[in-house]
Amino acid sequence: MRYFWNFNIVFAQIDLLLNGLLLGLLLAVASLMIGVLLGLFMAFLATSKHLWLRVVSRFYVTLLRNTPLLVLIFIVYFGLPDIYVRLGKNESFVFALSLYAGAYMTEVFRAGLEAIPKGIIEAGQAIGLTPLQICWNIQLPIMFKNVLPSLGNYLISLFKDTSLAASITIPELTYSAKKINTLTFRVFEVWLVTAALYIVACYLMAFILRRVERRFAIQ
Amino acid sequence: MDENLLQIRGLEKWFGTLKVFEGVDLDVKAGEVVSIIGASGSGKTTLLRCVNLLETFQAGTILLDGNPVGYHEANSKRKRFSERVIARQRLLTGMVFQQFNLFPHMTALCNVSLGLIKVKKLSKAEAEKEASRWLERVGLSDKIHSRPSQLSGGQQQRVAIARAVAMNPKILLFDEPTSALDPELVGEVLNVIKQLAADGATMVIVTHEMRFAYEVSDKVVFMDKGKIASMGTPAEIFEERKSDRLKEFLSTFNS
Amino acid sequence: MMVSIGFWESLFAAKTAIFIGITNSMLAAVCAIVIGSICGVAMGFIMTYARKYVVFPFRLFVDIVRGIPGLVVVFTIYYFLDVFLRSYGIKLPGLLAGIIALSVTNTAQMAELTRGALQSIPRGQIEAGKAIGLRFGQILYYILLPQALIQMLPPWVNTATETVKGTTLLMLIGISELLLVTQQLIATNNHALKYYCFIGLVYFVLNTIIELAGKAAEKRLRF
Repeated sequence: MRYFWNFNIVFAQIDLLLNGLLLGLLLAVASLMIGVLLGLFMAFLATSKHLWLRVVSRFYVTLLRNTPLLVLIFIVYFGLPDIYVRLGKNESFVFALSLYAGAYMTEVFRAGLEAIPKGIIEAGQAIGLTPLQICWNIQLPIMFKNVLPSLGNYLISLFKDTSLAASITIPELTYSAKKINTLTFRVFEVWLVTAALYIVACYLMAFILRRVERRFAIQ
Repeated sequence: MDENLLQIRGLEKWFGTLKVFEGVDLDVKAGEVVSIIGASGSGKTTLLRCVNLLETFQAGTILLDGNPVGYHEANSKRKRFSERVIARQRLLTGMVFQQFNLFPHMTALCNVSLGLIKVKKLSKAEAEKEASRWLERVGLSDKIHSRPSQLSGGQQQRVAIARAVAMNPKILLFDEPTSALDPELVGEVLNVIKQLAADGATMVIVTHEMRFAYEVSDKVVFMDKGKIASMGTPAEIFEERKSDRLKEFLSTFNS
Repeated sequence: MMVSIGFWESLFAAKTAIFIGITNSMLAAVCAIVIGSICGVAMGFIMTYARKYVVFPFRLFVDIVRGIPGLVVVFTIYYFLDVFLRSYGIKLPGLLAGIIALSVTNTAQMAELTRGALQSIPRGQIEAGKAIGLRFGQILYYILLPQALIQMLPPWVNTATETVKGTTLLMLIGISELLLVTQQLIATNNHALKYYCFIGLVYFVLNTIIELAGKAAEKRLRF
């Protein structure tokens, strides 16, 4: 087949794409932050002494991990208004993605908490620290250092998940690309540039995160 | 038969620019048991791995049963044999590894019979009969259907020995067969090796078990810094201790 | 016209449509998992044992696909194939494009899993195989492949559930899979929340079954 390449049409709209990329990044960061809080809470439930608290945590993780993110987004954005909860597009998306991220974070933090040797906690008890002090001064710092690499990977993965925001017409990168595709019919150019932007963004993030990790590791 | 079963001449090997050994000559006659001792890093394990062609070497020849293995001269150029030929040449030797290297997904019986079926082309029934015969010989007749993870280190190494001997090699090579074992499990493995030696098997053993080397060997080779520093009967090596390096090395063992 | 009938009633009335939706979703998922597993395992072997210049294009493929969101892979392949086939006057079957896209994502994922599993097998395994005179192909088939497959089972099950979830992306290129069918049903009634929760539950049950089956298999295969 014969195809005449013309990247200029796409590059003329690069602002739209870059803004979309930035919006996706913001959505990912917001969701990660809420997800981390949710995950921490659920991870402590998962390591609790009470069976029913562990069951609640387990149920949340299994339910969220086995449900498609897109369905979750639709439940929040199209479904919740049925019970008079009306959220904006961005809020709906962040809500859904945070719930989703929270489930994965729970697993990460739970593994991180369980990896802390019992002796360290006993050492804390031996010098008379309260459970809250042990949690804040011993468990959390050790755990965060252990899970930092996974957190970074999840940020990248959440950033890729923000492409699903296109489904409720949030103008992030994928939505913008689709829009330019419809307007210009420069099919190959649009998607090649979009894919390239995602790849560059992901690998740049991975690079920066590895730098941050190394700095934390030295301390 | 007075001919050398294994004849190594002028063997040289480098890792990059690092010379592992040079000018190594070694003869092993049929039925002979040769132990190689020496400090770690002296090249003894690498020498053994060269004989089994798991390592390349840059110069010298290894003759097994009179034929050169690993490399041949073609148009006055040194060329490595094809992998198919090398696979066949490896059958002349049997190798027992320090870390056993049993196949974890297979039972003891399958570990031993795999080579018999796939390389020796025995039928499954014949191979399993042969394999269980060898497992019995190493004292594991009650473990033939166990997976490696269900066996102790000593038992695993005995399966590995059965796997090597079952292929009926001309020479058995042992690479520190007891170094990875808990002290209380060393004896059972050494006993199996002694039994094989008593039955007339030809063996080259790299070991740190000095008493064992003294008892089982016809010839002991002391390697130091990539060279054969001393060679002789166990009495010559362990009692006379001709060189200073040998004295120094042996004094680190209380035997 | 909005008909106000109850949720269960309307769900029952729509059973054929929902069944077709589930069938399409499962068809896409199963095809993608099968194709992705076969191609991915082969690619993983090549990436672990082939020469550097042979590995390079595969490495590039895996890194690119894994660096792009699944949805963008779906859009890209759908639109590329569409334009390409249309220039020959062929109309692209949507489901086919969807299956290809999911297979591509799956292949990259599986290739990386296989490579990881193979690299974690100790070198001694290959040496032990060589020592009893096996050729490389035999070592691959009898020693490395079974060990890699057993090790890969848990992440493979994970990839399978990801793929089942990933089939929902295909609604965005207009394939009548379960989610799109549901969306169309919702347009005719006022049970959005209940409907979405219901099909969320369907996916949840499907994936939980896959997970449990995987755990059972894992228990039996562990060595």
